[in-house]
Amino acid sequence: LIELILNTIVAGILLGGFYTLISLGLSIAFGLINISNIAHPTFVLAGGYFAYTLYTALGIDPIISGVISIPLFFIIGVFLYRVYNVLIEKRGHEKGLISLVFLFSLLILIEVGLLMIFGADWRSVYTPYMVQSVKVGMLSIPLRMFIPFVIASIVDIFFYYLFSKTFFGLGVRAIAQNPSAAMLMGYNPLKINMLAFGISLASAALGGSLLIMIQPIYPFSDRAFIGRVFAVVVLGGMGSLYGTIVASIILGLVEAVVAVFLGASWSMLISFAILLLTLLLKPEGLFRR
Amino acid sequence: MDKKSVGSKSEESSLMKDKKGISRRQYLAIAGGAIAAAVIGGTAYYLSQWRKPAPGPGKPIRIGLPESLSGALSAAGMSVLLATQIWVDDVNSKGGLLGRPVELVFYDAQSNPSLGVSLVEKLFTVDKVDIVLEPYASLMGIPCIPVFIEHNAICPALFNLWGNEKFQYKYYFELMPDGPIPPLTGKTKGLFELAEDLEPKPETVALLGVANEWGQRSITEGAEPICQEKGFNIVYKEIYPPDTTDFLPIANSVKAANPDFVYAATYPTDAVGLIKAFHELGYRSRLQFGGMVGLQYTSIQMSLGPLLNGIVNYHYFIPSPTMRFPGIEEFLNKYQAKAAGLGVDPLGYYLPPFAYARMQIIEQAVEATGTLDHAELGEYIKTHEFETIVNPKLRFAENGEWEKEQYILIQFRNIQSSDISEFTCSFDKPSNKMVIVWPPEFATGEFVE
Repeated sequence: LIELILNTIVAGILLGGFYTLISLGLSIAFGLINISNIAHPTFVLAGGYFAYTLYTALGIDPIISGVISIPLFFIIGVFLYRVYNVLIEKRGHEKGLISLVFLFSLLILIEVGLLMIFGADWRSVYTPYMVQSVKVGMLSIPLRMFIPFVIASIVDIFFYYLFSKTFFGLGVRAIAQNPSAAMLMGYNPLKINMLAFGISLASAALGGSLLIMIQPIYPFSDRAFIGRVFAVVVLGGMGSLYGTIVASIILGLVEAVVAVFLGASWSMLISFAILLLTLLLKPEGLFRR
Repeated sequence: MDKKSVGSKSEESSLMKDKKGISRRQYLAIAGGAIAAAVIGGTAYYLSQWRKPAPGPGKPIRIGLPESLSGALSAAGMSVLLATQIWVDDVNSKGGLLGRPVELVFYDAQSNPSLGVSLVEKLFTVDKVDIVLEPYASLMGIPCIPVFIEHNAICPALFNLWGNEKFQYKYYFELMPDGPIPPLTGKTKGLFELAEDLEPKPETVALLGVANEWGQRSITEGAEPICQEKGFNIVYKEIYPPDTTDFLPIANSVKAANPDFVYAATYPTDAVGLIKAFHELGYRSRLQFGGMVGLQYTSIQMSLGPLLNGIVNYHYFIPSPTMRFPGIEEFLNKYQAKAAGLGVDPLGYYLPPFAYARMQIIEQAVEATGTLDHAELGEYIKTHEFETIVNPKLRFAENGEWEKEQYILIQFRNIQSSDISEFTCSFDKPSNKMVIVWPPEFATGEFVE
């Protein structure tokens, strides 16, 4: 029983690490620059297809592909924010339905694009080292989940440094709180937000390169993650990167522990019950921005 | 400080603007237009690859297909469309049906059941096609059955799980070869029949099922009664949500229960998750998993590679000397030649032959009755035998299911890599990587523990 409990807790924490990786970018977009990017999981998926392409065409390991995808998706993010700014923000639609329609259209465009390029079949990569486990005493730690956890931890540390210690990161937070005051301090909101959205998409693509190592993907498999990533961001507290990490680990742990001791069919129910309860007691989420 | 100048909404909004707004806007409009045109043009071109004019003289016989070409079921839906299109080409090259060319009218049902129902209705009432096919899979197909009943039309179903159970519609027929008794389908009971023959006979079993129509009912109405009947003790049972990401907790629980064998009724992504989790824990029972939907698809097989070794799972057909049905080889050659460029299952052993066989049944019924009258066609299909590429003597039971079930259990062995060649089978020589171990009628080898 002790072995089962320990392995369940480890599995939950590792799963939380993966959730962190695919949610952090949304936390930046949704919480800091006020873009409810419903297409965020679609960019995760696009990152997965990018890794698949490099793996099948050049035999490049998905982790390396994840690193390569960072600058590429960063540039895409910068460009996309510029488009969003012109079409939505400049017209004052950023808080309305039009913004959501724009992002949902983007989601559909990417999905259909992936369907046209890759077809409807499942795609995956097979990397023998990713199906191995490391035994530590009673614990069995699968590399398939451990590697995303390690990468998520590195990204966490990087984001912590970036958003709390650098001029740019402080600017993102300042603009989120008061754009006018931030501008007086020398920040250009447009440029700062462009860079922040670029970082958001870059982290999504990195998460996608690891997603394809965990499970096969097809052009519409992003839909399964939409609810989960928004739940993580809202539970953690809008714009709180620390909160996103904690919320990811909580949801991962709840899913794993409930699956073992109560039944897997209860996992999502209890996860979302916790979300609702938290919002009832602390509407701003676990941690304030 | 002037309240209006700092912090007001108009000011904040203006902060996002730059001085070259107009020219950039024009540039973005052009760029956006170009992207939209490319996507629309690309989509049109992509779909045009499927749509071919029917040759030959006379008013064409029109067949409607509302199929999932996007969304969760699109991988399968696309392969159904391809198989159906191959039949259209074949029949037209032979001079058509009743001397008339055949034309396929198809729409994308987007894996959306309500849209599927609307499209079936549209095909009957607006397009006024002669015959409408059901979209693939229970999720899409079953909600459409009332529309077929309303139009008193034949209802050619493709892999609806126990679709006619509630309706008992007289003109329904189903191509999935599960047999006439709904909950006790071959793909559920096969593993238990094999387990019963093992020496020593296994005593304990774990049951895993995804929480959908297949997983839930296969466990509660199939596996559990079978266990009771055959005396297997269920030591662990779990019905998990379809969007479960990590299966380590479930695999850990199975390992703790340590059953003699494991039966799992899954869908593709959870099949992959479970197999990886079992492998990572280093846990393997004597016999596993039997009812995994997904292990029949080439792409899923390639994603698992050597992790499949030892696993026993249901299938309906693979090329082998024991399953060399008339016409199947020619069909697969045509399918595989086109599949690679269309992004569908490149080998097509699972669903496409049955999609083609569905059309052969319609073809033979129309030719034999000389009519497109649905009542006559329906009666003919209920009472006659059909020569198809998946069974040369196919007959339907009263409820529209196959009169006699036809399934195989294959055991994966000796798989070294994730290359497609590992999963390619031949009609001339039994595969030593996908060995048919059950039933004896089709077996090409013995199960190896």
